[in-house]
Amino acid sequence: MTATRRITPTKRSGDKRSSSVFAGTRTLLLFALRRDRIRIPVWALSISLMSMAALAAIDDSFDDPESVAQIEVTMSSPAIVAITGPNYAPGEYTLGVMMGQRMLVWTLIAVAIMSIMLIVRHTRTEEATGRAELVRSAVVGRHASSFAAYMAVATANLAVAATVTLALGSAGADTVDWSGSLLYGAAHFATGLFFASVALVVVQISEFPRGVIGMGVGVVGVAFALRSAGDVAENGLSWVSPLGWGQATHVFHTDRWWPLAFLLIGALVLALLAAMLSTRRGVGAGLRAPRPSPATASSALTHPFGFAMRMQRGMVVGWSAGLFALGLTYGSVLPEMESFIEQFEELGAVFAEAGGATIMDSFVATIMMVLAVFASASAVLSAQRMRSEEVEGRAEPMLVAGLPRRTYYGAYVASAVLTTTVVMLAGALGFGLAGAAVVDGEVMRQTMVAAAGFIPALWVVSAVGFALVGIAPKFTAWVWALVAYSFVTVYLGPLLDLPEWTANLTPLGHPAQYPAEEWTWWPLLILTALAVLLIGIGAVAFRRRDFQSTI
Amino acid sequence: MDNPVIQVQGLDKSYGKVQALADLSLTVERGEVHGFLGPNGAGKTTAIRILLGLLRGDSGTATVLGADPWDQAVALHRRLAYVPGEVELWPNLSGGQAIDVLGKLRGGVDRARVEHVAKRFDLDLTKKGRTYSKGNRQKVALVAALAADVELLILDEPTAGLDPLMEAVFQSMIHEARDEGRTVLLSSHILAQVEVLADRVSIIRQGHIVETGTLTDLQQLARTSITAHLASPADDVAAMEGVHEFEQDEVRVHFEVETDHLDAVLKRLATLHVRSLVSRPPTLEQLLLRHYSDADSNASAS
Ligand SMILES: Nc1ncnc2c1ncn2[C@@H]1O[C@H](COP(=O)(O)OP(=O)(O)OP(=O)(O)O)[C@@H](O)[C@H]1O
Ligand SMILES: [Mg+2]
Repeated sequence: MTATRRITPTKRSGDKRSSSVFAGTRTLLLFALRRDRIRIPVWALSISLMSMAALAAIDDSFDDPESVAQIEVTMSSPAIVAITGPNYAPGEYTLGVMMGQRMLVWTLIAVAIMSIMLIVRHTRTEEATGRAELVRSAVVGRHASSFAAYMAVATANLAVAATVTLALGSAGADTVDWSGSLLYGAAHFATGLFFASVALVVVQISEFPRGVIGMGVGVVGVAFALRSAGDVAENGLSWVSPLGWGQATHVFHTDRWWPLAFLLIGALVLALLAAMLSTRRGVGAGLRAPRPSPATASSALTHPFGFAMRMQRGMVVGWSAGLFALGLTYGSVLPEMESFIEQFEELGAVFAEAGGATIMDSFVATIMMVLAVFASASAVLSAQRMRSEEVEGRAEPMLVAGLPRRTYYGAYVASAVLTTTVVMLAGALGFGLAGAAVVDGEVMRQTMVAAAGFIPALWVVSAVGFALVGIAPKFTAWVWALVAYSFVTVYLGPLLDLPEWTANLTPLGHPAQYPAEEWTWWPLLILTALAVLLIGIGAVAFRRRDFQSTI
Repeated sequence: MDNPVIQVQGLDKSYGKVQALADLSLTVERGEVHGFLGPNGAGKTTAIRILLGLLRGDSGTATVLGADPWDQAVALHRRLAYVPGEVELWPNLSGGQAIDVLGKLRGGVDRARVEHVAKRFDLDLTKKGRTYSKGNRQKVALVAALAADVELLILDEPTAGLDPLMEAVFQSMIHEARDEGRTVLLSSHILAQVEVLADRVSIIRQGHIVETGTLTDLQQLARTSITAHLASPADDVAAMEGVHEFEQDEVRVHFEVETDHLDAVLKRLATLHVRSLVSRPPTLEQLLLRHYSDADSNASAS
């Protein structure tokens, strides 16, 4: 005979862990790693391949002492210092030092962005899609999701650190020894952890994954600008920049480990702050309760273009402000540039670079190129935004309310044209204004002309995104490959000794590098025509394909 | 004006290897509320999204308000409104702003009507996208659609998440819409809703319409279930035409009988000394459950 089954609460006395705030972390961690089983290796391999390629490329230049002296002079110029970092081994310049000065900061930025994106992906995106609720309703502690996400990102950073160490250490290059390579890798790990913590904090603030990524990337931008300004002015500002801490290791020279402690302590403090903040909010909510909005829409909002701009308002403001600030930073170091030139003129050095441009002009041209590469990252966002409105099911009601597909497409294209123009001009304006204030008004004219040259190239980058939305919508995100490629070939190309044609494959390689090169019109016209063509192809394809939605 | 509002013939649609619609034919007459029923994954949403010009059918024809929904999507959209089953709102816009944006796209918003409908649904128009509950998000889409001056309403599970009070408001609004001469295509899993609202019903299964007709027509297709106590054995009833699910337990029999054969079966029972007899009338639910569940038989037939 079976008695009536009664449900009794299971005794859990001996099982403390299941009731802890971390219950379920192991399962969630394994799940997160499984979801990232492609992503993490791709990041780790890309970063270490880039480091390895840079090392191989600059290795050749270090064959004779003559050229080493030459290199050191160039690398001490404020242009280089502003862009990547200081020469921390004056008189003892080596291949390894050059890696630490010119390459390290870029791969540190790469791990920072990787960490931010992965944290957001496993925390805020899960909450915004409602999947987190399902998970949290299982036997999962309050901090388990965040902790598991953090551990997954730590694993990713460990993977990057290990592959970078192996790549550099095994290259067998002079002065790039194993202990230095280990420090070089460890700097990536510590920087990655720090920005993972930053991401975990901003994740608490806003409800929207896009906004959170924006804030996180903004912090990276600020860190970059701080170290730029600090490195040139040598005023200690670099010591408040997390990116500066990684560079302060003076890797392959004195191999200092202690600056990494700043990063690790910072990571710990921020992670604790995030944990504290997270208990003050509900799943899916932000720290600030959203305020009500008016019950009626303004006339700008009911216009498709106004609507598209409204969707991207935060992005445009953020990027413009960011580039403006970066431009200001670079512009303000122009006097150091001048005194650098004078100092060498006294020594009778010759300052004509290839093509007869002055150092000053090539500095301005290089900075404009850097600003354009940053702006190209914002150029892909409009097409991505349009795509996510589609798949997240918000565009569908607009189309069914009578919005023609070509108008919908056209509105986002127009927003991209405007956004890229505004962002590029903001950078040029910041640079020009600072330059005009500390040097002379001519800089302002130069930066504006140079910006005008880059704007059509940025339109082409946007246009590639729109073409993908039409032709191969699932691969819209691949437009980022073009941004990365532009960065590698146009900016690092000369450093990596890449052949000329590689830069020609990206739109950013075509505009004249004014004022270092003579100004020409034809690249503008060709690039604009190319953008129109790509956008047209995308428009036709977009009209013909099924509208997609994942809900 | 007697052309059907929606006419679909031989429509096929596959997503890669998944065949979502197979030779689908559907007619919705002007001024009717047409129920669109079918199990999960039957292809209702796919069919609707083709009617909206969001997807293109692989073959076959679809006509909505006399136009091809793919080629003339925009002109058509001004004359219809749509409520999806899952409403996504813009997180940074209020419900009222979203309704305005959608209304202006259609050519203009009647604010008074929006406010009137919102009031009936008890909807706060000033909240922002994500701060709405699921039911309230659904209401934003309902208000946008029901406040629009359109001939055709296409509703895909429009009340998933509404409370019973709001369900009643919805039903009375649909009645009013029909009285004003609008046509409604209503996909739904809520049978009671369809029974109250629909003039005609189409049942879709595996991308194909398996039954279509008025509720009375469909009830004809359903079976009456009969339980009777008999003094004499009734083995031969089991073999009669139109009798299904026959069960016998000593003197008690239970079976279902098709409406067409009800008369003959009752006459036979009458000769078997009926002591008591309970009959349950045919219901739509029963018909649906039959159609939804015998998936295998149809799969092998097709
Ligand atoms: N984008 C897509 N890609 C691949 N298959 C899809 C897609 N959308 C729908 N399907 C498939 O098409 C079939 C029909 O789906 P549909 O959404 O039309 O069903 P439904 O009748 O609306 O179901 P429900 O009642 O659950 O809403 C299903 O088998 C579904 O899995
Ligand atoms: Mg559906």
